[in-house]
Parts: sequence; C-alpha cells; structure tokens
Amino acid sequence: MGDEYLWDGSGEPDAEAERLEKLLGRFRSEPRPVEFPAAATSPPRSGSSWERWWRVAAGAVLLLGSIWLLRALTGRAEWTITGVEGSPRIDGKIAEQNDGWKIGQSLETDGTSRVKLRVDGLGEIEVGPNASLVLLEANATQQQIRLVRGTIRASVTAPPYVFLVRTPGAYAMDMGCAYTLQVTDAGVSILRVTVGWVDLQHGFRQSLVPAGAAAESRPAIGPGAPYFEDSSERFREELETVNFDVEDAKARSDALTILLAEARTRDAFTLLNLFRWVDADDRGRLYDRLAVLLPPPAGVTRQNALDGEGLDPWWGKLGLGHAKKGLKGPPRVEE
Amino acid sequence: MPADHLVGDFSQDAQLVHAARGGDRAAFGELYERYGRMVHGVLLAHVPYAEVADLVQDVFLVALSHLDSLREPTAFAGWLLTIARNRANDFHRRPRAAEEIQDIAGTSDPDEQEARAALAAIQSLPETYRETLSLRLVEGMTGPEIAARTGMTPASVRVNLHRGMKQLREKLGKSVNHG
Repeated sequence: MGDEYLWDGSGEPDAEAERLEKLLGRFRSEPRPVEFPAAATSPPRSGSSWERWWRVAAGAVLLLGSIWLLRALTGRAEWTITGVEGSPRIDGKIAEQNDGWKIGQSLETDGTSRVKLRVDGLGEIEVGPNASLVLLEANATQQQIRLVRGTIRASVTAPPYVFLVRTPGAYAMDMGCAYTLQVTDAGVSILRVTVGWVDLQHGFRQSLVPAGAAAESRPAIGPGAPYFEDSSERFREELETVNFDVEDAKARSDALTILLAEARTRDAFTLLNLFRWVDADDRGRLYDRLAVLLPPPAGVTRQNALDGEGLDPWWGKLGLGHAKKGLKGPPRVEE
Repeated sequence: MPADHLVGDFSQDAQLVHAARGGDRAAFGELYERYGRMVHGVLLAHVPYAEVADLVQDVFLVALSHLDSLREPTAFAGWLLTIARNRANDFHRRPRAAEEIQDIAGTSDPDEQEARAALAAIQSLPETYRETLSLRLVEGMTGPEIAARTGMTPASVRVNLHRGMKQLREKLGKSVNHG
C-alpha cells in the first residue's frame, strides 16, 4: 500500500503521505531572488579583522596545498608493489615486486599471500590474505580503491579526502592517518584507526572515527557510531542493535537501556555520538547517563540534549582533539 | 522528471561550474535553480525553519567563493551537500541569543500546529531518514529525483523512504495518543 506513491507519486495514493505533503508544503523552498557577487571566485567582503585572519590562514593553506600538489605531480601517482609474500594476483596474473597496479585492475590474495603497495607522496597499503580489491581512481588528487573483501592496513600521508576506500557499507575517507579496514564475506566492514581520524560516510550517515576507536558499517545502512574496543562485549552487542536494527524502534530502545548500564567513563565517546543516532524520545536518558560518566561543561543542558544541538562543548571534555575538516566530500562514483 | 534525465545533467552541472568559475553569474544562478530546493530540504532536516532561508543563501555563497577548490565539477551536487551539512553543524555550534532559538510557539491555527509537530517529528528521526523524508514530504521531490540529486542509489532512497515513513507514522501516532 502506498509505497509506489511514496516513491514517485504513482500508484494508489497513501492518504497519510498525501496529508503530510499538504501540511508540510508550507515549509517548502520558495523561489527567492538571490544576489551573488559578480566575481565568481571572490569571497564576500566584510573588511573585518576576522576576515583578514581568515585570508592569511587561507593563504597559508593554499601555499601548503600548492607545495603538496607540486610534490604529488612531480612524483608518480601510480601504485607500485613494494613487497610480496606468496602469490598475489593482478587481473589473474601473478604479481611481482615493482609491478604496477592500474585503474580497473583487480588485486587478489589467497590464504597464504600478502602484498604491499605504495603510491609516491600519498601513502601505502598492506593487503592481507584472502583479499580482493579493485583500483577505481589513481591520480595526484584522488586515489580510490574498492575493497570487496579481506583486510588492508593503510598508512596515508596525503591531505584529507585524497585517499578513499569504498566498501559495501561506506566510504572510508582518510583525514591524515593510519588504519586497518576489514570487509567480511557478508559485506560488513570494520574500521580500526591507529593514527589520526577517518571519516566514514554512506548516504546521509557519517561517523568520524579517531585513533584508538573502531566502527562498523553495513551494506544499505552505512556506518554506525564508533566505539572503543575495550568496552564490554555486552556494550558492543547492544551498540550493534542501536546502530543497525533500523526496522525495530523498540529493539533499539531496549538495547539502549542495557548499553547505558554497561557504559564506562571511556564509553562517553560512544554515548556522545549516539545523540545523532537514537530516537528523540531516548535523548533524555542518554543525557542523564552521560552526565554521570562525564559531567557536562557549563552551558550544556538537558534541553540541549533533547533538542539534539549545542552539545559541542562536551566533545572538548573527551580530550580526543579535532578532525581536520575539509569542504570536499566524497566524489560521486556511479554504481 | 525522469531520473535518467537528471543523471545525465551532471555533465551540464560541470559546464555550469566551468562557466561560473569564469565569472558567469547566470550560470551560477542556474546551479542555484537546480539545487536550491535540495539544499533547503537538507537544511530543514537539521535546523529550525526560520533559519533555513538565510542558511541556503549562505551555502551557495560559500560554494561560489570556493568553486575553484572543486576538483571534479561533475561532483558539484555531492560537494554542495557537504557544505550544507557543515553549515547546519556550524549553526548548532555557534552561541545564539535566546530569542533566536525560541520556537514561534504561539499559534492558534490547528493546521499550523500540526505541521510544526510533523516537521519536529521528521527532525527527530535518525539521520538516515530525516533528510530523505524532508526532501520527499516537504520539498515534494520524488524518490528518483532524490537519488539523482544526492547521488544515493535509488534502492537506498526507496528503503529510507519506506523505513523513515514507518517510523514517522509511529512517532505521529504516539504524539496523537499522548495528546
């Protein structure tokens, strides 16, 4: 009933969807004349001291970026095998030291093979046994790998968002770091970050994972909230339900009850992430438990938690530092 | 509008981006025409309605001033979405005067009250669903349009609409039952 209507407006109308469309139409975007500055690439001018500092900072970033780009362009943006164990194969042919890995080629290892590859100026990966990868893109400003199954260990020196690994559940976008990424035969991916941050994204879901933490991603759902692996087994089991049981609100709410009871002070990191994932009805008790584990800083209130906003000062109390953020999101890769 | 047609439009996006980089204001205006509704819907999933119109303009001004940093012009839509989400996050980070964050609570119009309750229910859904439902129910975009504009697969959009609508019904049913 009504699914086709919800999808494209065809089929038998869904009465409730129709009613909501009519009600919510008052919030719809209205065509509004917008004045854009004449110079397409000039930022709006205000002349404030903040802007002058912004310009200095932007200039510094541009300079550093140019140095990196020059280095990247003068180096080879190609993958080269730097270490081989067993008989890894590229497009079915046994790969050897110094062989290249080209766009579109598959790379596979069997149960006794490993291989190490490097791209100058950007980073290197180690591919474990029983792995399958495809190189999707390889140039100075974008490296993209599809990890079909198996485990890779990545160590990346490129700027944020240059080195991307696509898994069935999410993009893993490097933000200057080292990490291990595993994809199981069921398509579940498990990320463990050892240095820096990794940005996991799929559709509208995003999870920023710092060093020392891990996060899972599921096909058709995306990444879940990250966690520290020394949390209790029960905590992690219930987190799995909260993260991925998208069909069953009651199961998620029940799992949250146990998860909150199991949480330690160190798990405050996961709890803070969960404000973005749990239903609004559960935010109050999430706040209450978190406030016991990690008292909120001045100005952060229970109402903030219920509204799901204004919680940023709490992040500072975790002492995890901040991810380097870039404007660039994941590039579009058509299925 | 058929989704296939929209997918084909990414090459036109690239042409418009190139023109806008060269100072062609009309070209950037066309990008605004194409994506203004999407940006509006995504922002509305995260911030109060009264803030959305200004933030939409803000998003496009940021995009305009950073257009040269977009490495792949065909990826304009995804890049714009990232900017929109960053601006929504920034909105929640900055301190605001009390009157700025007050809801316009007093209204005697029952339709208006119901509409606000429905919007609040959408904004309270898990992230996976709220943007998709905002684009479908508020902005009136179809599933194929949402997929084409956001870069999500049609299957993911369909699942998000189905599951999100199910949760929205539960929430609205609960709020009615509890008065």
